[in-house]
Amino acid sequence: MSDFDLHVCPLCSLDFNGAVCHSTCPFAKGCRMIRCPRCGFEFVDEGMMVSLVRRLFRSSHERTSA
Amino acid sequence: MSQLAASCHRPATLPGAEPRLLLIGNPNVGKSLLFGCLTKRYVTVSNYPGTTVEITSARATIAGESRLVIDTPGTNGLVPQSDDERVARDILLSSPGADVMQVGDMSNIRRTLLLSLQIAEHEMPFTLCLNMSDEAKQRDAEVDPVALAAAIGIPVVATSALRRWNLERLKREAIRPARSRISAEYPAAIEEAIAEILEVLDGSPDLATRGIALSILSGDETLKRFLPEESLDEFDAIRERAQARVTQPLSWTIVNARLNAVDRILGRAAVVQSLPRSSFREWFGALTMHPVWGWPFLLGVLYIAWLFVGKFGAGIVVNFVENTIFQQHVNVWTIKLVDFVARFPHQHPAVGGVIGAAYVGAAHLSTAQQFARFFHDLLVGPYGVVTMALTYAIAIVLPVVITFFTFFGVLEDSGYLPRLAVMLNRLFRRMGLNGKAVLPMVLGLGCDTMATLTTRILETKKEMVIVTLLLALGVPCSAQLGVIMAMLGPLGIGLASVWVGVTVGTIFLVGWLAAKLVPGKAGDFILEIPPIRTPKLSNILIKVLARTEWYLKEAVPLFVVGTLLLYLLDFLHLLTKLQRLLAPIVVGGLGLPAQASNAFLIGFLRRDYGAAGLYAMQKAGALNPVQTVVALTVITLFIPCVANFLVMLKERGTKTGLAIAGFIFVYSFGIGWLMNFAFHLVHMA
Repeated sequence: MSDFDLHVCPLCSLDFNGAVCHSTCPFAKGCRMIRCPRCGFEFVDEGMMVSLVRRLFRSSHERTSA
Repeated sequence: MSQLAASCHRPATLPGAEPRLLLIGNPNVGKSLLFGCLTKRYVTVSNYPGTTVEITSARATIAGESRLVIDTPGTNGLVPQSDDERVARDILLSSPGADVMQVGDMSNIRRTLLLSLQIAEHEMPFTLCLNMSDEAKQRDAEVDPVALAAAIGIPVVATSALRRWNLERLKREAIRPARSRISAEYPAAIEEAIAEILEVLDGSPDLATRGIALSILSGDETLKRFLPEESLDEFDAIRERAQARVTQPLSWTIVNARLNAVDRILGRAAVVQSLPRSSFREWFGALTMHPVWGWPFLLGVLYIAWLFVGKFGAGIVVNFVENTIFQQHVNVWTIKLVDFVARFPHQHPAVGGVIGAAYVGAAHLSTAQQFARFFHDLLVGPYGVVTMALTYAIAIVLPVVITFFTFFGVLEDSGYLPRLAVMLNRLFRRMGLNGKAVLPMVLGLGCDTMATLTTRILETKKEMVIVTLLLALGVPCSAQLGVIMAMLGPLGIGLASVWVGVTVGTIFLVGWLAAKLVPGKAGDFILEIPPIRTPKLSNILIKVLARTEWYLKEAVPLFVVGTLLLYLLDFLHLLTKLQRLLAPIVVGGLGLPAQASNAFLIGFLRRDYGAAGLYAMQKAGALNPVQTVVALTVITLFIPCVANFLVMLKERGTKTGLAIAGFIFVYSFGIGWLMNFAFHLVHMA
């Protein structure tokens, strides 16, 4: 996740970037949860699987366009 | 502002003496995105001193000049209603000479100008950025920035941070802020009180603004740290005298006067926005949080979840994955492979033509054969990593959480979750509990551990303890809720209602006790309600995929650890002893088979793993429906996971954390015992 990836909080609809899981949580290291900086709702960041699927779709779309 | 810097009561400030550019604005106006566009990199996220509120700052070159850009938390006004708003106000007051840029949503100009007016009353030069102008255009809510700039006397720039539009112009204007001419007309009693306060503050030129005087009159307790201590009584007296001369509360009168001023500006600037059109979505959105109709709607949502997750996910999908894929293929092949590699005399009896983890073997084995059996049992024995941990995780829990994540994704994308928060807020307020307690409860649906950390927003230790307890007892996180719903599926609506009744009853009981023990203030929390939206399939699929990957990485290792624990206990012949030790509670008290102890044991690692163990027992016919609902209720009321337990100890202290865990243990098993007793009384058990 880059600091400038835009996320939209599913609870309060805030658009934000770069707010990672609570640093004081003992399981925070390596945790892929993103915490909305306004309301605190946590949700999962897009991981490898999503990136892979996105890349697959993008490359197949590019092939079709070409 | 030198007075502030000299005061021992001044709030903590952010370090750094370089010129600052403060971004201030209402929540949800694209401020953080704009911050990202202005700064590009080297972002620092730090807690505001003395709080858990995060502040983002970065050094950047704005129109050729160096600035420390600070993104303040979203605020609806300069009389703070929350920690976030207080931090935003404190940063503003503690940054003398900073360039202030207010970021507003162009389609919500009334709310934007309400904040502009307050900044103007604090006599601070600022620039107004009307962001999200593209959305405003689409919604016929466009505002003419030139007309508005002329009306309020400061630079106004329309932008779209999302499309990176007009940002260069914004940068040029950001370092040329101006003092606004706008002001509100307050009743004579308030104007005279303002004059009196300004006279008292005469020796503190940085504090002597109309904005500070109005905050004092609004009863802003958080401002007291800024004010000269010897004048506090005098301010109270001035406020009381002013209050005696107006019929409505002073804070209400002040906000009303400000709203009138904003409407006058909008009229002058000829920037009248079209009123929002009433539509089916708005009607539907209002229905979902209606004080009466909202509840049947919520029951309907739960019923659909039960059908989709409990019946479809746990019934059809799990049957296929577990019985066909795992029991008939994956487990059989793995057992055969392990038998081939780790050889010792034994035989897996075939049940219905399919072999399973159970086996019969010779009593006396050589050392090599004993080693082979250890390896065999570790992988494919009754507590094997493949036959138990992976079968539970992949064949039972995964299909269930995928269906649940799909349903939860629809709820999130439709905009229902914030409406649910509003409904719960109403309920908790009626119970007399502090409104702030609602937010951690809703957040618990995402992650209980993190929600426990959020209880820091509560004011007293008692509130924190009670909400921590309430979270651990009655709010399962999304993954756990999925498995619980799966187990409810085969029970039928009657017994499923018993589970719902006991869980909701627990929240009421503890909430009621909380209200008795902790009167607190019935404060509100501000949550913007987004419009009801039609969920996008692609968006939901992406969310489900991301959550599934996360679940596999997060939960499966704990499933393996739990299985290894059971395996070791079994290997050391301690498991049967432990089951015998727990028998008075599990068998005698709850009326469950001794084997259910294993589920409670691993349930401590993750509640959903324990539930999966019970689910496997239910499917194998080891639990009848009544035993299932008893066991399920106990595991629901149990501590959510080991991370939650650790956070409880860390946040509430070892003594209180252990006391909470002890109470949960006694309460959950006590309720299970009561249920078993009640079922026996009505001859259902």
